[in-house]
Amino acid sequence: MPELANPARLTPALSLEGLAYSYPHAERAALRDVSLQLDPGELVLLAGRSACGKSTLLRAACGLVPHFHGGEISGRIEVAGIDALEAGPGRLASVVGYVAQDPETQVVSTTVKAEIELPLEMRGDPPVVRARAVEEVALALAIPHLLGRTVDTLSGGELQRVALAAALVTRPQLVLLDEPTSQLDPVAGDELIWLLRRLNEEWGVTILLAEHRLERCLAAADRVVAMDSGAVSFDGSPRDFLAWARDSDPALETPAARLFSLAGIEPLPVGVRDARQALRERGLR
Amino acid sequence: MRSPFAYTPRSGPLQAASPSAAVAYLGSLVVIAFLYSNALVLAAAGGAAIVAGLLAGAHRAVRAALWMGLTLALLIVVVNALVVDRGETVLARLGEWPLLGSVDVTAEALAAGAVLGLRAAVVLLLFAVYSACVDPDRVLRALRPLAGRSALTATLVSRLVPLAAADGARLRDAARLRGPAAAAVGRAPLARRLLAGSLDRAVDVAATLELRGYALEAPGGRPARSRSRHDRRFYAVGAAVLVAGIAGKLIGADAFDFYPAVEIGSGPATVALAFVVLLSGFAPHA
Repeated sequence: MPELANPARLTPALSLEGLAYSYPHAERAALRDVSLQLDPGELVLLAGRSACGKSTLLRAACGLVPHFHGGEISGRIEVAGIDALEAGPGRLASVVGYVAQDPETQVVSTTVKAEIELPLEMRGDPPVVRARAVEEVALALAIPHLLGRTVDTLSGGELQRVALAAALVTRPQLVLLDEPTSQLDPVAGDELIWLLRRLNEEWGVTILLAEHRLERCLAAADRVVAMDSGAVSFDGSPRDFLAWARDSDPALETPAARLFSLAGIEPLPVGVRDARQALRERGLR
Repeated sequence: MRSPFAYTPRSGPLQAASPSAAVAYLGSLVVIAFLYSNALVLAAAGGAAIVAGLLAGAHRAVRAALWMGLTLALLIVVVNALVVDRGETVLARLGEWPLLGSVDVTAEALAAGAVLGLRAAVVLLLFAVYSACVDPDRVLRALRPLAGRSALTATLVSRLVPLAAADGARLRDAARLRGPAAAAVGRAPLARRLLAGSLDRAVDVAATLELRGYALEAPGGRPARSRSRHDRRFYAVGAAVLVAGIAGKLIGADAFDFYPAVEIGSGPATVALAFVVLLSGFAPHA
């Protein structure tokens, strides 16, 4: 008997087709002919230099562009089968979560519990359902001890976790993160990345993560998409990305890959484990 | 360090009251402050704001607002005395000034400035009590049926003050860290940066609010904790203050002239109104 297809599995978490966008009064386009598809359950790293269009792409994927920011847009955006250009951020809230760079600007409530509960309250979930969902997401992110606190007493790392919890509490199919580690110390940054990987594996949530510190995230990613001047310049595996960056855009090379490259060691290491393995094979450790 | 104007959850009646009841109560005093120029009534409104704030436990907010309000009032008095030369009682002749011309400081201009300053201080005090005692989360929820289509409006109403307060605390800390040798930052540039920064951040917060589904059609049913047993008290006191204020205006309780000579009305109607207004400050008493 043939296996029945699961429509949810077949629908891409995010699908962009020929997307072009310019901010109001901008001289040049922020996005140029971007076509991209994210399958359910993928963890995709979005790389690129500053002002290459990463944040704009994320904002388009959650409906803020063009609904909140205005501007001119063409092409097609679908999030979990919903037309984002028609739906807008409010309707997309049930299928997409967004975590911005600055945790301070994404907190709208006074207490942690109210902040995490807000998206559920907005869609009219009853209190019992809200309480259970808040508890679950707090446990998953190891922040149950913060639930009774006011948000202005939290550190940057704690605030970032609370923002992530608020983005995840509705169990969205797609989570977009815009440099979530930029204001965290290295340890907290690493912890957050691996927490995302764990959630990606355990909850099956698709993650699109824009980051500058690629050495921190490459090992956790399934795929890397690089952008340059508003267009996709690379789309492939983390290992292929390192080779591409060495040849095409050295600014995106990780320090370890650059070191290996200079030493003539192949393949370039995606993470610490890779690097150790390569060094061990060459008797350098 | 937390801003003195930041909302602090407490168990007082003002904090427990619904946002609309608290706004009706504090708003009635704001109306009095704008409606009246009589110093006695304005002072009573200021006294009521202080008493209300202290009874609600917002001691830091009241202290900070008093300090800021009196500084602002002093500035207004000085500016008014320099730019207005009306009045019969000349206290000092300061000669010719660039742009201002001949500057005479009169007692009447000082009195008029003092009333304007007092009004500004009273409004600031009431705003501080509101900010420290009314939960912005509840304001946000209460605004949803009214401003659901505009998260930005809701954010500006409910979050601008907390954001500005947090930014202000950070800017003060940063200024302290520069040390005594660093050039002092003027109040005006600081205020401009504070306002611009808070507006910027309010726009970002509004975007987040959109993403949390704020613009979705509000689900049926009344939100939880929308009413409190203290609401009636605050509505009643607010209405009483408004009625007394309007009645007093009609029967001439606002008698107060600055020019050509200062005449402070202190008839029975004015005194009675001032007493009612001052008494309203005890509404948050548990």
